[in-house]
Amino acid sequence: MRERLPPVRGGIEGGPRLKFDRVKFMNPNPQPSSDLARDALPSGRDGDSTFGVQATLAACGHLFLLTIRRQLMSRQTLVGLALAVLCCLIVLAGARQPNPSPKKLAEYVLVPTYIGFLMPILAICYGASALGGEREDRTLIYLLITPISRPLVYLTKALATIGLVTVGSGIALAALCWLARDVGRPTLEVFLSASLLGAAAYASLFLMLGAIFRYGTVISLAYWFFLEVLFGNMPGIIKRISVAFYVRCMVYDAGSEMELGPWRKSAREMFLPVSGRTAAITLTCAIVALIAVGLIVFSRREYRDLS
Amino acid sequence: MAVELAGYREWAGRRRSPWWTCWPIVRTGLNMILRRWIFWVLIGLGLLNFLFNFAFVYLKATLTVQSEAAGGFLDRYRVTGTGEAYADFMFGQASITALLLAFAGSMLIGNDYRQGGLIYYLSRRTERRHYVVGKLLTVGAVVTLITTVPALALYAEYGLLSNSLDYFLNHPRILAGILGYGVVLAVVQSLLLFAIAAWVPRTVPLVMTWLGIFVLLKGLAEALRAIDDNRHWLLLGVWDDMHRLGRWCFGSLEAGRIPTAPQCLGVLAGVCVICLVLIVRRVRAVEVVT
Repeated sequence: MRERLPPVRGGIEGGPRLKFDRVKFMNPNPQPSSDLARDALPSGRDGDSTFGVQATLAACGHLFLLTIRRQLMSRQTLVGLALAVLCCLIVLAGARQPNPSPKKLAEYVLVPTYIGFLMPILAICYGASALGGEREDRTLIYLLITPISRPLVYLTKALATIGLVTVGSGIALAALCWLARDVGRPTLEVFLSASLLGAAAYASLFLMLGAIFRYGTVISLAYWFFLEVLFGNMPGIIKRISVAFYVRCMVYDAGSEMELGPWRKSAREMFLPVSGRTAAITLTCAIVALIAVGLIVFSRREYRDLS
Repeated sequence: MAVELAGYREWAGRRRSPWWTCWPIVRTGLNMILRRWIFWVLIGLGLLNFLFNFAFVYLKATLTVQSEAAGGFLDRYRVTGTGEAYADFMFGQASITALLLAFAGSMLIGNDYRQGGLIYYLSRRTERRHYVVGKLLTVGAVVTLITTVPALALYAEYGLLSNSLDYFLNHPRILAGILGYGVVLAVVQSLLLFAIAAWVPRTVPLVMTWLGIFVLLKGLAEALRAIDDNRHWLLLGVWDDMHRLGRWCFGSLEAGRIPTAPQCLGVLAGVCVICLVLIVRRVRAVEVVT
C-alpha cells in the first residue's frame, strides 16, 4: 500500500491552493520514513535505475492526468461548450436553408465557422493556457521544483494539450456533422483528418507561444487574428504561413469529388492550393518543429515571474 | 492620547464631488495598460490601417489640388473624405480594438476580481457606481484612442490639405458621424466588456466569450437570415448593429432597408441594459459563498 497523507490545503498567502499530498506523490525520489512507505516502492530497491524510470514515468503520467483534469474542469471548458453550441445552432440553421448540400455546408458553414473560428479558439483555450495558465496562477514554480526534467514536463504538457485539443475538435466536428444529418455525413469524412491534424498543429503552436511569451494568450490571439484571418484571406502565397491554409488544402483535396473550394470565383482563382499530401506533410513537420522549439525554449528559459 | 498627536487632523481643504474618484481609476487603468509592451504592439498593428488611410488622404489631397478629376477617381475606392470611408475605417479600427480589449478586459477588470482590487476600491469612499463609471470610462478611453482619435486626425488632415477650409464647413455631418460612431463603439464595447470580464475574469475564457459574441453571433444571424430571407435576424449580430448605427450617424445607411437604425439602436440599448444589470449584480465588496 502506498502511504497517502491526508490532503492538506494551503499555499502561499494570497496564492493558489495546492494539495500537498499530490506534490509528494509525484516525487520520484521519495525518502520513506517508515517500513510502510518502503513497502510501497515499486521494486523495493532505493536508488535503483528501474525505479527511477518507473517513478519518472508515473510522475509524468500524473502530470498528464493533472493537466487534462485541470484544463477540462475549468471555466474555459464551459465557454468552449457554449461556443460549440452556438456553432451547432449555425449548422442547424445552415441545414434548414433551401437546397442543402454537403458542398454548401462545407463551404458556407464549416470552413468559416469550424476551421476559421472554433478549432483555433479551442486550441488557444487549451494550448496557450497549458503553460500560460500555470504562469497566471503562479503554479509553474511547483511544476518546476519537481524532479521531473523540464523537457519531460513540456513533452507531457504537449501530449496532454494536443490530445485534449484534437479530441475536443474531433468531437465538435462530429457533433456539427451529425446535426446536419444527411448532408453532414459525407462532410465528416472530408474534414476529419484535416481537422485532427490542424488542431494538433494549432495546439503545439499556441503551447509554444505560451512557453515563450508571458502574455502567450494575447500573442496567440494576435497571431490568429493577423496571420490566420487577415493573411489567410489575402491573395498570393503569403497565406502559406498560416495553419488554416494547409487545413483548407487538405479539406479541398479530400473533397475534390464535391468540388470544394473557396466561396467566390475570384477567391478560388487566387487561393493557389498545394496538394493534400503536401499539406499533411507540412503540418506534420510543423507539429514536430513547434514541439521541438517549445521544448528547447522551456528547458533553457529562466522564468522570472514565478512568484 | 489625543487623535491630533497621532498625526490625524481634520481635512481643511475644499471637499469635491465623489465623482472625482472616477478619475484616479481611469488614470491608474490607463497607466496599467500603457506600460505593457504587448499593448503597444497591438496599437502599432492597429495603426497600420490608419497609416494606409493617412497616405491615401495625402495622395488624394495632392491630386485634387492638381486635378479635380484625378481626385474624384480615388473616391471610387472609398478610402478618402466621404462618410462611408470614415465609417469603414472606424469599423476596421474597431475590429482591432476588439482584439485589444480582450487583453485589456482581463487586466483592467478581471484582475480586480482575481487579485482583490475590487475589495480595495470599495473599502474606500468609492461607491459601486463610481467604480463602475471609472472602469467604463477607462475602456471607453481605450476604444476612443484607437477608433475616434485616428478618424478625427484623418478628418483634420483631409480638411487642412484641401485648397480651402470649406471641407470642414461643407461636411459637418462627417464630424458628427465620427463622434457619434465613436460614442456608440465606446459605450457598447465598454459595457459588454465589463459585463463579460466581471463574470469571466480569467484571460482565456474572457477572450473566448468576447470573440464568440462578435464572430459567432454574426455567423448565426447570417445563417438564420438565409433560411427564409428574413433580414430581421441580422439584428442578432451586435457588431454589425454598431456598424449600421455608425453609418446612420454618417448619413450613409440606406433608408428603409431592414435592419433600420432605430431597430439597431433598440437592440444595442437592450444589450447595454442587460450588461448594466449583470455588472451591478457582480460589483460587490463582499462575495457571499453558500
